[in-house]
Amino acid sequence: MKVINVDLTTKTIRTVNLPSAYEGLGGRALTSNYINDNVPADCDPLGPKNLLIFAPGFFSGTPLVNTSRLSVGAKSPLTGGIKESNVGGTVAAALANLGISALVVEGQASAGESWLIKIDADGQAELIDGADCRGMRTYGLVEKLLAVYGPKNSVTCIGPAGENLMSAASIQTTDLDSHPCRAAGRGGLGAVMGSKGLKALIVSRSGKAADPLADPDAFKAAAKAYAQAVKADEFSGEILPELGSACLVEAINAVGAFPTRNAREGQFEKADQISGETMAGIIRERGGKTTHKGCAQCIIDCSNEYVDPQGKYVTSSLEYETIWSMGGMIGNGDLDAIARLDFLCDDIGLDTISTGVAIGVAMDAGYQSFGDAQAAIAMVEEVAAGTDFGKILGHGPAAVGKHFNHDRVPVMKGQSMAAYDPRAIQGMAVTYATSPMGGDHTAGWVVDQNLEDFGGTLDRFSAEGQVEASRNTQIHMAAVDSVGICDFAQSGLAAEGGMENVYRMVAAKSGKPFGEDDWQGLGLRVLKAERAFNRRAGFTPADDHLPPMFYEEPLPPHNKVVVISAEELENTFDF
Amino acid sequence: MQVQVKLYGTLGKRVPGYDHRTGLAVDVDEGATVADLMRRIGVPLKKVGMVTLDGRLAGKETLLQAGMQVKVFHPIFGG
Repeated sequence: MKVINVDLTTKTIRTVNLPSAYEGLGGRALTSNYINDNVPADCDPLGPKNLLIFAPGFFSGTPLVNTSRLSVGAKSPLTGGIKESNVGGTVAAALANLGISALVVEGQASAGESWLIKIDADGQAELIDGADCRGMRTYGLVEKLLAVYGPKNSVTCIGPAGENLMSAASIQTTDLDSHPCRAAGRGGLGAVMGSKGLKALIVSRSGKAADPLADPDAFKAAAKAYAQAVKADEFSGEILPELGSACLVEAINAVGAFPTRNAREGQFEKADQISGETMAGIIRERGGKTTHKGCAQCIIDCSNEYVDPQGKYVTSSLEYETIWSMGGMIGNGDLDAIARLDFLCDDIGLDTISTGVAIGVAMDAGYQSFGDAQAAIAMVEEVAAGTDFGKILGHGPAAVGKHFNHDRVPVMKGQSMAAYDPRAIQGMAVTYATSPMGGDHTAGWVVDQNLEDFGGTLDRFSAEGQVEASRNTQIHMAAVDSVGICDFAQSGLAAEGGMENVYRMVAAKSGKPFGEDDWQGLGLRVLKAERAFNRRAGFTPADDHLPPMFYEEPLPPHNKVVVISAEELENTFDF
Repeated sequence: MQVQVKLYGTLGKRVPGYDHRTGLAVDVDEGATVADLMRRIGVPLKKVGMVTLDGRLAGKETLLQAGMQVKVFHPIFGG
């Protein structure tokens, strides 16, 4: 339970015990409370007063499956508010196995400097001059660093987009194959890392000093039952291993909620060319991997390895959100081009969602044509090259809209929505509008309530029940992101007795009683901290609205608009 | 009458010989419902999350019409 503070202004490192105020917190609960307590909300997100904090989930480093989840927190240059960006891979398990609850990066190196933080198998951190890494793309960088420091390390890094302080820059981290293909994509935290002068974090994967469990037997018994539930569930046990999250393409498209050509339509006529079913067939034919383990301690294997016709690696993992943002959203039905764009974003260090939507906005404004995949590839390359247009695109959809004086920009608090159009699934309007993160699907995914069991327990075109569903899911997800359970392993929570199992594990790790009220309290504590920060940063109730396009433009084929009133959105949270 | 059926996710594995590229052409009686169709092709209702008929979400008891394009999906969860 230690915190490593690295000051890049003074080039000093301090290791302290986790302050008692944060005892029992991990992941998003730790990053968001730490940022709220320690970052001046009015600071320049790319200045020395911002902090960048990396925190594994509370369960990372325990025997529980699917818990290598890392929360990265800071004030976001994209939204101007607080940000928690969540990522898998190996780094969370690596940090937790070294007994590290958080790494806090503060200060700022001089312009032009590039630094590496290396944490060895004993948990000792050192700063290393990384001048020879400056400007490198992530795949080449990881190869170089692992050749020097050994393969048994996890690398978390930025590419040229982060170094160039682009607001859509991601932080990339390595999977089990040491590919930097896992992204803390949202919120432009790659630019915060770049502003500090930090190029990469190298963490030993050989740690054996995970925090002790207060009651190991109770923990292991609950963890075993949890894992069995994840395996037994059809979605996490069968569909995700075979198709990955891309299984959602046809389903969401079929119900007219797949934003197409910058959300002018809700169905893409080429969805079958980019579906999970088609992707799995292509991968199998070419000798790639459909069932692939991307993250430490994963038992779902939702990842994949997409290969070219010669069987050569193109990217990992091709997922639903990217297939949408680089596919339907830009009118592109070429899966090979989507895979190339996914790789380029990972290599340059860009959020695939923000980048795809930014391209969609540019195409909507008449800059290149919808469906021109080669133009999209050239546009992404421009970000790495730092051309005038690349510098606009790299700042995300709102910057592109401003440049072209184009108002069809599907962003909330400056961050683009994801692959569910809120006009066809009203509950997502509430989540996109009110999440302290800005447009974000994982913050409160209420798609199942709107579609499950032959059409949903909620009427997806009606406002009724949507605010409550989103509020409850947002509170729940804030807790999930804090304990560090993978979103796709939530089948373990949904199973009979699943939540009680989780409460038991929190109690068995901490040694303190934990129940349903504590779970709610954890989620609320996170959201309260995030909303408090955002208020101090200048956000008002009007920032919990959607852009006019969602109220004014009916979405084909159902021709609906968002019907949830501004007042209802503003009252989603009463704190 | 006949309807065209496509099965998504891993539902196709439940129907011997199912080819996703062509889907299934299934003969059903006049007045048949979505639930009747699922019984006919051997897909248990509890394995189905949603069904669309010509791009519109359908219930279990929704009536089929000749020539409809039927898409059958597994329950979904995501992010």
